[in-house]
Amino acid sequence: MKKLLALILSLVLVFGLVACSGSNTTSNVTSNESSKSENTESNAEEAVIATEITSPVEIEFWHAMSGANGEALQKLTDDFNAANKNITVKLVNQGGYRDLFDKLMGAAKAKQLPTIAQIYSNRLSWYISKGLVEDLNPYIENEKVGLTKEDIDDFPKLFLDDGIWDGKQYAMPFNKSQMVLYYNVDMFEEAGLEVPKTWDAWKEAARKLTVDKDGDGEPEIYGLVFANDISTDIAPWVKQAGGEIISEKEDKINFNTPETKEAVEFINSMIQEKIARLAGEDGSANVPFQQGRAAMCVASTSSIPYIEKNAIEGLNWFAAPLPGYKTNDQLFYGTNVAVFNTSSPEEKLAAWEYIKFLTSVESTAYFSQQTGYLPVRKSVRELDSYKKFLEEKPVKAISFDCMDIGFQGARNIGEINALDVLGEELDLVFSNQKSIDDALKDAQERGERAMQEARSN
Amino acid sequence: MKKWILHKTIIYVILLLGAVFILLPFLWMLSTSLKPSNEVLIMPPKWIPSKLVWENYKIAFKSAPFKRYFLNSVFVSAMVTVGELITTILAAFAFTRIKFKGRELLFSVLISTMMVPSEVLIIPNFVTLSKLGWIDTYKALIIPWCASVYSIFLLRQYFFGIPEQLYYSAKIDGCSDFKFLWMIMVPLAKPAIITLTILKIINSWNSFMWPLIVTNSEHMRTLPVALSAFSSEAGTDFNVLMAAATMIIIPVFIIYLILQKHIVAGVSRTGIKG
Repeated sequence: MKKLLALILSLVLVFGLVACSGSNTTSNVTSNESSKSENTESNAEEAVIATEITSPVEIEFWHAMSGANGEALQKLTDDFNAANKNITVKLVNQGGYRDLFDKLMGAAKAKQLPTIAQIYSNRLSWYISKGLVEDLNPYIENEKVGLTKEDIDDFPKLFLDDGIWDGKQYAMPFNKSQMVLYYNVDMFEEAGLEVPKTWDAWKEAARKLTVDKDGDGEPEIYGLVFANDISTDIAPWVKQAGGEIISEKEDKINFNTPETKEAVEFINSMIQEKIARLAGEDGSANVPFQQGRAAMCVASTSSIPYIEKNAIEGLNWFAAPLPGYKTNDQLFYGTNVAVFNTSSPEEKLAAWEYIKFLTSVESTAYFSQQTGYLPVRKSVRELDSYKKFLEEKPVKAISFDCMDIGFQGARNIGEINALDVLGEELDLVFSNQKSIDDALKDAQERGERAMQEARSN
Repeated sequence: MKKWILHKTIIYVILLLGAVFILLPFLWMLSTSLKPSNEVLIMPPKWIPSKLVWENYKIAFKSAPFKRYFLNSVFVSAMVTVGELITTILAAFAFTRIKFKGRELLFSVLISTMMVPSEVLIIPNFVTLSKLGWIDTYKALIIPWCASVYSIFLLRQYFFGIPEQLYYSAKIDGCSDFKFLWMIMVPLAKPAIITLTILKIINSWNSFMWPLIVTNSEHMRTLPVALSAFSSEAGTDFNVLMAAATMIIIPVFIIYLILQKHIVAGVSRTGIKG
């Protein structure tokens, strides 16, 4: 009896596995077919977008903005709803970014996508590949509801480019930030140092600012702190070394290349010398910095409100662009807003009107002042109100000067999984358990596999 | 005499240490909830805030519609608990006293479902519920949770501990199965049932992932979802978050205080701690 039971149970498990994988392939086939038919439909609709809203329309905007960010977004949305009698935008907070993206994926599979969502470009790639995203070019170019040439030029080019696939604008920038170097002004003055602009100067500064008073090998003050997920955003150092960590054009990952090796060697040398470290149990790189336990840290400009609020008394801090090497490339990131094409034409038009409002000069200036994010319009800098704001918070002016040397990361589907693999290998390098060559070689192999697996979903 | 005092002291010291150890996270939560922002993550950790920031509670309360969330949490937890008790008691009884073909096999299949990690089920369940049109309704929050194999397993164990003779003698007296279950078995199994009740209330009250996924509207969400409002990609307002968490725990804490003697009795009788 027991043997029969075991046999039956194992058969059930086997059938379960087979059934599950079977349904995946069939759903892939059907979604590919439906995306093909939707593509031809939307091609026909290209010239025929709605240009007028005649009856009340309600649309949902799924986002992950909480706290002060959420309040700012709510105010902008309330203003928009009040000014547009026929449109009601319903904000739906879906928790944090991971929760939001999980939910969007579930909604896509259940065919229940909202009209607009906040989303990273490297995630939107998947939705575009399934034909679920509305091409915004017809709206931008439309005489009645579109953007003027001045408006389009007013967007920093790198932000718009982040939303273009195959010449089509699928997303507009919303909350963007830049990776910067935060530094302790007092510590630098006392050591007679200038803010580093090159890798060599950076290493020197980190060395001079690391303090190990009791000589126990564990510095009380580290020169530099990096984020724990440094692999996810390692692009700037690889780019500054002359390479590209992930090539979107060639659709391949470049973990095992000389440039990547140079970048990793640079970072690792500082970690091994104990003048730099990862955030570790502090969670975020800015935490030890704002408590005076680190002289410098690498973090996003979106951390500015947190550093302001949580810094210990008397901490004199500022920020600077990342020090360069062969080039001075600066990394910009952040989410955009995209419209899914599963809604009705009027709903999509309403979504476009809302996006136009969110990215208008006044709105983005307001949003940028209330949050740690950057304005997505260049002319914000000319506004009197913003000029005053910058006098009080000069740290937010840095990004304006960096946009010409800025870039955003690649957006290949599955790259997140590959970068996670790189992170695992780098952790072994930093803890001295593996040589850089071995780690990068394994990262390349495993990363390619991870990317393939992610694409078969 | 001296040996006895020493004995007792050692036991009490150990118990005290254990209690302090278990209470530490809660004490830290309370302490953090009253700290100003820049003291939350200081090294070395500070236990007593330099000033008691009661504003954190005010901010936390204003950040989400707590009244509505509270009502939802109470309603959902109550309905889920009642639903689960009904299905569990009936199922446990069937699996112990009623002899039907394939009973053991069916039970083993049920147990094997416990091996599936819940993350795997999130998307398929979400798809199922949206096809049924239950998203953003109480149905999605309540119905999927009205059965729990774990509870059935626990109660079945307890029912096995009640002598079969009781069942047979009741049957001889002409008592129906149903009557026997509710008039005799349930009162006898009160400790286990109360334990299950409390566990279910706590689990349902704390459930975050599921309500977040199946609800979109503010007026359908439950208390734990409010906690997500304090974290963002750039950082977390731990002090306000802890204030909100403290407020959320208090109702469950009160229920526990009221029902605690039943839990202890339950543990000592079944020998199983929930």
